[in-house]
Amino acid sequence: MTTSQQVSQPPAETGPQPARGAANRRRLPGGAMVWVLALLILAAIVLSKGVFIRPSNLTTVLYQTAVVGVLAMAQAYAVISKGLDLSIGATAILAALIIGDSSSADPQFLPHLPLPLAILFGLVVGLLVGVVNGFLAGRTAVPPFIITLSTYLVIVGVTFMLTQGAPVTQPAQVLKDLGEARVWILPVPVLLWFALIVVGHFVLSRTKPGAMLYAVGGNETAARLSGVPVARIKMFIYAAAGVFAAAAGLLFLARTGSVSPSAGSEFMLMSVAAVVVGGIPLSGGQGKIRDVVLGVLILGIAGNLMNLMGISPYLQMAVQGAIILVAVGANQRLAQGRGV
Amino acid sequence: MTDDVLVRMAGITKSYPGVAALRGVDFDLRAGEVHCLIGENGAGKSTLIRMLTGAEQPDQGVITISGQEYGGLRPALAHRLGVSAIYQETDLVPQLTVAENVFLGHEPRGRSGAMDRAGMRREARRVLDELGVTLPVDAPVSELTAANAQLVQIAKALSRNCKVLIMDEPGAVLSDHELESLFEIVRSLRARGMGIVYISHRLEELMLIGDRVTVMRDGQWVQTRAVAETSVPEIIRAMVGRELSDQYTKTAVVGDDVVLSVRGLTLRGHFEDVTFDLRRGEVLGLAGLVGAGRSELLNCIFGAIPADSGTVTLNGQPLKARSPQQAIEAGIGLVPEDRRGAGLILSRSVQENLTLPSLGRLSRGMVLRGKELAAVCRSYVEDLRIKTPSAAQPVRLLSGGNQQKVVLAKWLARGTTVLLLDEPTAGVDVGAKSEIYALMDRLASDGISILMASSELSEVLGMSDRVLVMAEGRLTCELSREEATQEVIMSHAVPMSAAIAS
Repeated sequence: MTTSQQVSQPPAETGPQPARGAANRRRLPGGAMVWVLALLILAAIVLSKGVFIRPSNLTTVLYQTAVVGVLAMAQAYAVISKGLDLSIGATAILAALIIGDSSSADPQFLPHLPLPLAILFGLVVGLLVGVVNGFLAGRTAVPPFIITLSTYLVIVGVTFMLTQGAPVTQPAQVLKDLGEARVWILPVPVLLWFALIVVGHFVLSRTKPGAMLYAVGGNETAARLSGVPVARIKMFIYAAAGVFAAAAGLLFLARTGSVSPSAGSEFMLMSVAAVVVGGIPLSGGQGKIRDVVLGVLILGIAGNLMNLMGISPYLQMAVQGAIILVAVGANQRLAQGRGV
Repeated sequence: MTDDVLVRMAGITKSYPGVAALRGVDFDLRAGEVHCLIGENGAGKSTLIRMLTGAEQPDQGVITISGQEYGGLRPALAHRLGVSAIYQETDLVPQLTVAENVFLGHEPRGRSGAMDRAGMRREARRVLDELGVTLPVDAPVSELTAANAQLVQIAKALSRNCKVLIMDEPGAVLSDHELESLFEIVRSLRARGMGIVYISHRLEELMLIGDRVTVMRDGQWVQTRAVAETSVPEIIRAMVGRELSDQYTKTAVVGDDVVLSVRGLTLRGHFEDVTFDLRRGEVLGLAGLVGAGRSELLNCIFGAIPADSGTVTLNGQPLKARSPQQAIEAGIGLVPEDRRGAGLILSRSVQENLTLPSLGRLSRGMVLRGKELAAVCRSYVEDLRIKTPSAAQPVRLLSGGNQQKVVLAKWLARGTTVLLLDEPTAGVDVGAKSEIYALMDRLASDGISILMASSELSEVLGMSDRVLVMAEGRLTCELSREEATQEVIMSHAVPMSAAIAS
């Protein structure tokens, strides 16, 4: 009870602490990725001869990054729980199609709904997909990777059956207007992304399900033996991922004004890329929303810079692949330095 | 014992950033001796061993093996020189068979260059025969008991013509009976002229098997003595650098009221018809050999495994715990045997681990009460004297003893009335051990009831108000503190159908 006991302890028994210095290093906000981002921004300014730093360009970067940004948060939840959600990209497109078609004046395959109801409809469908994923992940021994691979295929199939492969191009005009509307210089979709970052961060760091999510990802057995309702937490994780994915679909629709069923097959992969570039280990139990945001920004800025430099899209993909490898390699080096 | 020196390590020094792990340590090993190495966690034993197996290279110092001097070894070189190590966590591949594991990495080849399976099985059987054990060479290692898996590791070392065998805590996973057979094997290896480095926390083991014992403390050599010329108190004094008063603290405070009552509990294949009562403030020891069903019994009461039949009553109310969550809500806590695998979330912080079972109490709705979480954690870190630089320290960086204190603190913070302890001091060093005993005693005085399964007889005898002995899934006897002796317990712990494959 007393602090004097603390002081009088022999220091001998604390054992070797090679982690001390590393632990200090780790306390830098955001760790190594903050520096990578800073260097990247600096490089972008220099290489683009200042074009990068113009407000209009910065807005474009955020505008283009928002959709993947929201999807990557959904993915982060799954990855922190030691899972993976392959279905979020497809869920986003499904939600976008539902919102776009049912809010349109001339719906192709759904009844017409007022915009707020249409949005709600899309979000609820996202939630349902997530609930199915979460139920299976919590109650069966099938790995989340397989579960969400199956739901991904089911969703893609359903999407094509509904739309007959045709894109939805006429969502409610209000939605398009909102997608282009700005508050100060920031487009509404970007603001929505920011709001979701705050929500995602709060849930993960300040709520009971958030704390339990880390426990489940870190060691499921120990979590269960500590009274964590593992099945319920998994339900929560994938349900949250489903809703986030649907929200990403909404952003995508608002920004582009149209959505094709075949769009966004790379969304899911980009979400995984952003999570790992941000330094969240696939082994689970670790990672913060801040990390995902960093990962998304690094990939987004790199893409923007290559656009500004006129690099071909094919080469851009190759470069992004290299970025992912380098980032993961660097993060693992750091983790080893910490004595993991 | 001959005087052939197999290994001589002189002036070994090794630093990691910020810490000197080893400072000028000398160590030698002769052919045909068991040289015990002992010290508290963090004393530098494992680091010294890593130098010998080539896993790491010393900053300074010389290692001489069979007359040849080396500034540092590499794993491949150490292997060639006949140095093999057996660790607590086995490095066997569970899916492969016994024979495949024995020859992993140096499989015998036929003339065509293909693996010679028949030859491999024959050789594996020969090596195991040499050890005097019969094991099914075609069985996957995952089906073996911990004791037999250890034998496979020894066989693996022998198949590599090992001259220096390092055993790191081999007794930790064994029952006393299994330990005795292991000792016989160790003695026969010694008789063949092998040099054995034996690391253990259990002093009794060292006194039984060791020829010489070297004590380390804080990365330094303290003393090397012939076992015959030293004593347990002297070794403890050398290890901790101070006199350790009686390890066990025990005050009898057993109340009259029955808190936990188990009737006819059965889990087919593990235990049958288990009936007993646990009183307020009582420490009830559960003794028996490994595999007697003790862990399963605790897990069953805790709701982690559903029982096939029988009832559990807690404070007069039937407890139908179908998940740990329900048992925890009723006021039961489990400290599992596998601390790292089941007790803690190693990558997360002290605070997160310590407060995990109490999150419901420490949140308003869904939102955590951050200040209270920190306050609860701080008070238990101080109260149990958990040595950690901060509440944010990942528990994997704590020593075994401090990790175990975090597991105990989890349940104290939750407000538990019945504690189920499964091997509470496994892998915990001597200093922390007596702290845990003192804590158990204090908790019992506070009215908490403790059911403690332990393979360490001295611990059962030292701490229990009453002892239950389990053998082959049945309670074979109940002893009061006065009646309980090593002999009586062992006579009831060994299965009556004494056909034990060694």
